[in-house]
Amino acid sequence: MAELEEKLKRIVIDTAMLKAVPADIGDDDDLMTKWNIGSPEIFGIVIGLEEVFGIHLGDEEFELKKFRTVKTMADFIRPKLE
Amino acid sequence: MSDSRAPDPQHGYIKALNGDPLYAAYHAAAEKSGRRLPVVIAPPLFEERKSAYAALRQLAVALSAAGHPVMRFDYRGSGESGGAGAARRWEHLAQDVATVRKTLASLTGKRDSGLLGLRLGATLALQESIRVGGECVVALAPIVSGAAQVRMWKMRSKIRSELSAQPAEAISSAPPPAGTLDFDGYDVHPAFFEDVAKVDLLKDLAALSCPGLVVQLSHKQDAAPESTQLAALLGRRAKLTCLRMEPFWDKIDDVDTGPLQNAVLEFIAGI
Repeated sequence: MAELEEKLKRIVIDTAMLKAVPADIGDDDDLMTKWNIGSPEIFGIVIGLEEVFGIHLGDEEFELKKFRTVKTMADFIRPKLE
Repeated sequence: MSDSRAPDPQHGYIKALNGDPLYAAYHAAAEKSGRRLPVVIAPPLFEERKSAYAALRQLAVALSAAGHPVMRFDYRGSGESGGAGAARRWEHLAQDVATVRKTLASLTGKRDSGLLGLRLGATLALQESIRVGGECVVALAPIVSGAAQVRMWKMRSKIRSELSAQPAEAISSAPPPAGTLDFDGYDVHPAFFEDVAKVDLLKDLAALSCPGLVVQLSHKQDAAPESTQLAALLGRRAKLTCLRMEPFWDKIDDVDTGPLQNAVLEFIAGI
């Protein structure tokens, strides 16, 4: 599992208090339908990303589709880490 | 949750400073010891108020069963209270907390009431307790940074509008009155979010002159730096408790708030 994706899964698990380990979450799993992630958790994930990676996500760049799966999140975050 | 020791609450209205009717539910104490502290419960606002309703009601019942008279209420322009949300500013929420506090003290023949608040209500409870002192304050997951809270409200509103495939400004079927913001169907004063954004408890607060309990409710068992700083600012009379719990004010699902009830009852019993 790529390091970034693993960190993202840990953030998702911590934020949503999922009884899961990173390997349980597929990179392409729809977090909303498969893992019952709703708007409160998505905001928590945004805060988690900012804390863990030391980045700031502007309100204007926020789109739900970027947080739909671990893969879409990774695609969104990776350029910010380079 | 019901408790056979707790009488059914009485519902009524009290007057806000501007004359608006404030809805209040009074839970009389189950035991007439004459010594137990009356407690005002200050709720959150918007969707958080709705989601937290059952948990705060259960908390009121538990306190009542333990011998504490309790008053729950809705701020002007919210819930069952009268008044217009579009006219409401931060200072009005603070006035409503003070009004209910005095009303409960008067009703119970006590000098003062304790304050218990959740989220925005916790922030108001802390500010009020710093301002006028009082018997005790319990702050459940207080909003420490108003700017962060406004960001969260706006982001969640955007998520909701994306989920419902509607533009944010089209959430309400009728256009809001002129000079009013439509926030997820709630009429809001255009300056209200600016009021909230100015709140910064880590800059605004001083030491408490009464016993205080700050409860961090989150997925983390350890205290967040923000919680530690807040408790330190509140001084030696403040205690910080961290409970690992889903944020019930964000959920439609039932969350077991028993550990929270126990923490609150234990703290208040020790005063």
